[in-house]
Amino acid sequence: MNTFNRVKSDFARFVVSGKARLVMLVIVLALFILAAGAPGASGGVGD
Amino acid sequence: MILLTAILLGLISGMVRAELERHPYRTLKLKEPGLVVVAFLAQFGVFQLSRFGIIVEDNWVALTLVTGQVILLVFAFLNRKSPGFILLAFGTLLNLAVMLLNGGLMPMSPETISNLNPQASPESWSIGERLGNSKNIALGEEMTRLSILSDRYILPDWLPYRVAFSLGDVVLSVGAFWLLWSLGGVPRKHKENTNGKTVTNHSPLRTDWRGSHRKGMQPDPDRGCD
Repeated sequence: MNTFNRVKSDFARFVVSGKARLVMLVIVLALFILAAGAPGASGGVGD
Repeated sequence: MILLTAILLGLISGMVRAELERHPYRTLKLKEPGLVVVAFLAQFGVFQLSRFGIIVEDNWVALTLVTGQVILLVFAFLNRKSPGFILLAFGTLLNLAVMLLNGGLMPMSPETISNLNPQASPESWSIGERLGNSKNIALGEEMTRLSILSDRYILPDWLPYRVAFSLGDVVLSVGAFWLLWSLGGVPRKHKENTNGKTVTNHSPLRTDWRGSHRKGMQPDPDRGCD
């Protein structure tokens, strides 16, 4: 139970930290560029 | 993958810049990131359905692609004050324009198809039809509207990765690189009060990615405490 609580609080700390925001920014940017990048042949979603 | 390379290079160079200039690498708070997830999942879903034997008509694929691009444009507009988003919007607009003018799919000329895959037999594709399960449609240069924006550029032969890309893809890559590069620089605005203390930072670039306030960083007013 203690381990679970520690993991939970570590995760909560990560979520509110700048690291989480940077990870989210990179993920959203990657999804954006894959979806907006035109064609399958250039590594888009349909590739 | 080539588009994702811009993100990786931007991230690395931005962090190196931050270290060299002795600033913390920052991040920013995006507005409505859920729009990107919706646009991506819609496209991803359409392309993945064929793996389960479900055939999606080309019209529906085109509609999904165009709708997704419009959603991405809205997202880029909402975040236009952040660096790089004007270019991201412009690149999306270029791809959307050429797709809209050519039936909703990205045109690719027979010459580009042959250059991309010299082993492919001419019977494996035909003019006016979608290329396999991709976003592309085979169209001759003379039949393509705004062909300069189509998938007509190919990476040099000395690179092992063979892909065709459009002008819009280049603009998108530059926008993504610029965004991540700029996060390694100094904040745009720091207003100082008469006591010389920095009191506000209206730039969307505000949070140290480590979540701490190192030299040059101010507390984020949107967050309680770090």
